[in-house]
Amino acid sequence: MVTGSFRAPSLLLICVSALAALLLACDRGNPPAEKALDPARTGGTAKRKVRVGTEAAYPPMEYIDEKTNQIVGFDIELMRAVAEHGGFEVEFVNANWDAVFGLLANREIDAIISSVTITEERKQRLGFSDPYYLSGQRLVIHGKDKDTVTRIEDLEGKTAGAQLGTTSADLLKDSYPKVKLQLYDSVPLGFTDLANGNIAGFVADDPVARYYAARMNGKPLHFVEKDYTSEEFGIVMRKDDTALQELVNKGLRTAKEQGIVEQLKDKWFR
Amino acid sequence: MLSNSRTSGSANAAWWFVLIAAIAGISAALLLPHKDVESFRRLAGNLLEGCKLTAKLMLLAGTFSTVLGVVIGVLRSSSNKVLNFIGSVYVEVFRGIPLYVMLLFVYFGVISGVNRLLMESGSEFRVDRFWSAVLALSICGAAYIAEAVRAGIEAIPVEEIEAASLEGTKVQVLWHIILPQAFRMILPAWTNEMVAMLKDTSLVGGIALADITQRARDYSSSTAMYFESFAAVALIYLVLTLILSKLARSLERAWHADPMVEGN
Repeated sequence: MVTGSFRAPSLLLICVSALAALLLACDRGNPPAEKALDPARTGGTAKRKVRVGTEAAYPPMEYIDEKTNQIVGFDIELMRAVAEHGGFEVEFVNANWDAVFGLLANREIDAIISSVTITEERKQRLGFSDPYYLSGQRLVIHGKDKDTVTRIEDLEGKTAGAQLGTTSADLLKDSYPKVKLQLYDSVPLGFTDLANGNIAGFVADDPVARYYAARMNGKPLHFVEKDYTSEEFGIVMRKDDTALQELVNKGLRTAKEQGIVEQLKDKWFR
Repeated sequence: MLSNSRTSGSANAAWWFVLIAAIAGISAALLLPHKDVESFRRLAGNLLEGCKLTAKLMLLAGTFSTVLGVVIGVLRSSSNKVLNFIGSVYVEVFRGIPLYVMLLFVYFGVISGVNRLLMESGSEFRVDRFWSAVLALSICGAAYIAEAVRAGIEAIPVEEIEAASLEGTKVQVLWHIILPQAFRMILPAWTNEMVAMLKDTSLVGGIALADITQRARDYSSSTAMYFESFAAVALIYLVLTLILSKLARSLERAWHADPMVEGN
């Protein structure tokens, strides 16, 4: 009994230590996270450090690169170019789609670049940059339905998905009330559900819909060639932060003039 | 018993006070931001649909987790080593997994794969996300209920069980002597678990189920009415749990059939 009660805690201790050692060993293998800006480096210049929120689960616009573990995408590179030409520094913050707007309001971040459509409703409470990309809502369906489903109306009585709090969800809600709507926290989960045959269609922005239709590994998705809306993306800031709005618009103008936006489109939407 | 009847009087007053305050709060949060009746009606209808889903989840998961929890709890207090081992493993495993992770695992990890196989084999049958949620809630809830059942069974005097064993079979003793007493003892713990489960249903939005929480998140992210939306939802959960605890308390009273308590 004495040895028994003595042995059990030691065994537990060994197990916990082994697990801790394993975790520490794995940790060293990961690349370091994006470092906070060194004050000594930025102290000399008067450049403003802007924290930019993004929902990095919307490829190819913004997503986490599996190999490097960094946030990458069209929006991310565009924002870096805008910062370079607008004269400020950026630091990206990854957050859920419905949380990112709360972070902006609470001043934990200063801007959002996350394929945000400029709408009249949003303009009443958010400050937008000039538009930087023209997109629209598109429908993706399962490959097995490609002969029977050619438009959203064909999904009436069935279930279609969209991301919660997006203009994709608004389109289904407002224009297709007979289609049952399923709201997802993030777009990858919705496309997974579609690929597994749990929903009949998924609505997302043009580049994202094309990306998933083209790349979902071994799970045949079909992109429906039909434009539903045409929507412009803008960089979001607080309405009263006019100083940053000027810097961003200045940087965006230069990026457009120098053909950087077109270059990025070629790179990311091919 | 005297102190019991006195405290249940003030507890009753507190129950009504919180209920009325919560309903007033919900009405204010829903009515104030709306200038026109139509948009209010839409929002209220939306939330009502969400409440229906929450109630359905609760009814099914509450029943299944109780049945499963009793079975596991009986195994866990069994003197048979194999049965005891099975019950203990169940409790240790499912008490340690967060419900949110369980929901994602059951739906995206297991059910989705099953559905894909069904689709590939040409079958029209699908297990939907609603039943995935019921399954996850029941599995996790049962682990907690099992522990309460075990505590209830262990609280019954051994002599009583031994005396009963002389008269009947093991199953008869379990059904007529042990379980009725254990149930009465664990009723408050069971109520707690049901209240906890009701609140946990707020996680099912993670697998795209439109419960009240998900509807409020959707509504608030397109209108920026965070305060009003989440205040309303918080208070709706409060009203639902108040109703649940009231039901459980009247059940407790009926079972105890104590004239002093019933007099209230």
